[in-house]
Amino acid sequence: MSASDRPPVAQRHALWPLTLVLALLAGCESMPQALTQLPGISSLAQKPVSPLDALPAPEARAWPDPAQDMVNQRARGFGLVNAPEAQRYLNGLLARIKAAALVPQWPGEVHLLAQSSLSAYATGAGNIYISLPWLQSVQSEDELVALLAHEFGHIYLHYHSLEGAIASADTAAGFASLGLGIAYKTAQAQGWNQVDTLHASYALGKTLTTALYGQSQEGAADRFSLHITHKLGYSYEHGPKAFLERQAGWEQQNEKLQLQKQEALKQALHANTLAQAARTAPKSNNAVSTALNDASANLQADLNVGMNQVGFDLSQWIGKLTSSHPDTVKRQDSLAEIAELYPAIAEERMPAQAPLQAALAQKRTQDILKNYQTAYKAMETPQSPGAMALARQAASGPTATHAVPLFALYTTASAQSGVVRGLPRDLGSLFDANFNSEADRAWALYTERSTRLRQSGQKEASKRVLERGLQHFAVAEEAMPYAVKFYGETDGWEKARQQAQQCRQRFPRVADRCQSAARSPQEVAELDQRSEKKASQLTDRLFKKKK
Amino acid sequence: MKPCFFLAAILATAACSAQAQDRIVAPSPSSRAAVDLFESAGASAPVRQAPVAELGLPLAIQESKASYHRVAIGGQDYWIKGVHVRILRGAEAGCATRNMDSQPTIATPGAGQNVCK
Repeated sequence: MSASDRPPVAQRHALWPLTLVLALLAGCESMPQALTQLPGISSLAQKPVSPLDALPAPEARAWPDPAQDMVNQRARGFGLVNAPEAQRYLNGLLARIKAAALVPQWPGEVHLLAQSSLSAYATGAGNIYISLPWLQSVQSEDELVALLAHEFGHIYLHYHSLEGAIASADTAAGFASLGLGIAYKTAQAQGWNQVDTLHASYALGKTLTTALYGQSQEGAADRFSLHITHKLGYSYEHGPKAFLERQAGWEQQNEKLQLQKQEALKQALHANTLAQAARTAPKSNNAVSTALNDASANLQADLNVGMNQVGFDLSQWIGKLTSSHPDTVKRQDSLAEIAELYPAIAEERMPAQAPLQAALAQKRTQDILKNYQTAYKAMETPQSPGAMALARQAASGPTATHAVPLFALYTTASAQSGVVRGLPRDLGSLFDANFNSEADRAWALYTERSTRLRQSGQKEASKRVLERGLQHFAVAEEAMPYAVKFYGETDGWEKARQQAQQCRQRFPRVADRCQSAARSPQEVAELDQRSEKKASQLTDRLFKKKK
Repeated sequence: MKPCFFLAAILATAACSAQAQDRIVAPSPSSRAAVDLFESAGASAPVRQAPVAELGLPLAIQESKASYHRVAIGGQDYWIKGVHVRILRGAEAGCATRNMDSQPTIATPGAGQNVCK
């Protein structure tokens, strides 16, 4: 391909993801074998059984330690919210769900996630994690039980067996690519080769298989929730139906925000390109060349906006293709069709609102919910005039040692000009309140503190903070990638590689992340360069093929 | 206005969380062709059936009683059964913590998609 045949550089950059996806889709035949043998994969189209029938017996399994699992979740994001009374209420509901599923002795508890979004998940240890906003959004106990039953459904149906299947599939793919790699070593070291194709198609095959499996499991967990809520006397309409409607509402609300942001980004990009063109355009003193310059700047601005839109649409499409959740409307329809088929499911039942209201009216729970909402408001606009007062209120009373309110206070104070009255000059020391509170510790605050100290040249102090954190989080796999990178940056990349090796042995689930974290900036740059080169070669090859 | 300030202002407005008004957006299941209209909540029989196209979706919910919602169709008030329609419900949630939030993994199957990006 001659230089003149090639698309412009900006367009080629934007087309890489598209051509890569097309090329990878072409290699979908190599579906990971271990994954195709998972229960449910081959029966995706099966008609659901009646929600009134008895549940199938659960698979036997070995339970990971729920307490260690909880420490691990504390190392994710802002960790957990310590709200004893609210948790007691939620655990009472979970106990009833377990009893209805005839597994009252199973381990696991409900914990509250310190996230501002509607979020909920279950782990193989039997624990269920739901974000605080779920408590504030549901309108009845029916809806809350539907959410918990859906998550418990993932545990009951042994969704987590997927983890083991993926580990086996990864190992098999690793061996396969190793064999091919040796065969190719002498033949073709440069360019896109069969090893790359194998890796790429395996990665995509795995993603699509796990996405399909995830989607089938979501449907199964919804049906499990329908069964349990009905058995416990809750309403379909105010329970599983309302839960999915709220999930859909939340997704739509955010989709709208994404579009608004994208629109704002496009306008800013357009304005920025025009401003840049005005600065760099040759000075002209006649109307014709001024008009030409303007037209050229506008064209460039439109082109940039167009490319940005292509990227946005593509990422949305890929997101939908590889999502582990089916479209929420499909999930709603699926339940509605079952409710039509089995009228007993859809019989009118009054929602149980009083017990939920009583739980939320408990003094400490009420204060915690209020302070978190205040913290979120302060974090959204830390520079606004009232943000400092909001952040102070958030980090007071029962939440004075909680990670989110303290982080809100820290970010809001950092956004003010000069020292804030009543707060330490070293704002990071605000986190000590969290570090000293056994029930509230969050790994995110240790990483923020140690990163800032290191960036300000206080290497030893930074290390002390991290090591203090590791005393509590050394058993948490989620803490490892940051720790590996940290040691690479402070003690050298050889030490980071050794730690990544230990991480691989102790925590196979995060082994790849640890390995990436152990790459020096130079290695990362080389890898990026190689990936870019390969993508470029693939793009060129595809363009050539089409000619 | 500089582009960066303009962008920051729009993003800040967009970031504000709000609980939207619940409203009826579709029949349930989606394949339902007509919806029963009742004169009162809990009435034993519908006054008539309205094809979905006639409903003028989305419909604002004016009042809810047990399993019925009062809505205005063609300038007249009717009650609709909750199980016959899909409602878009608001949430007291936002994306303030998204920079720190962890992404779902295979080990953490969630209730829905992660929508804060």
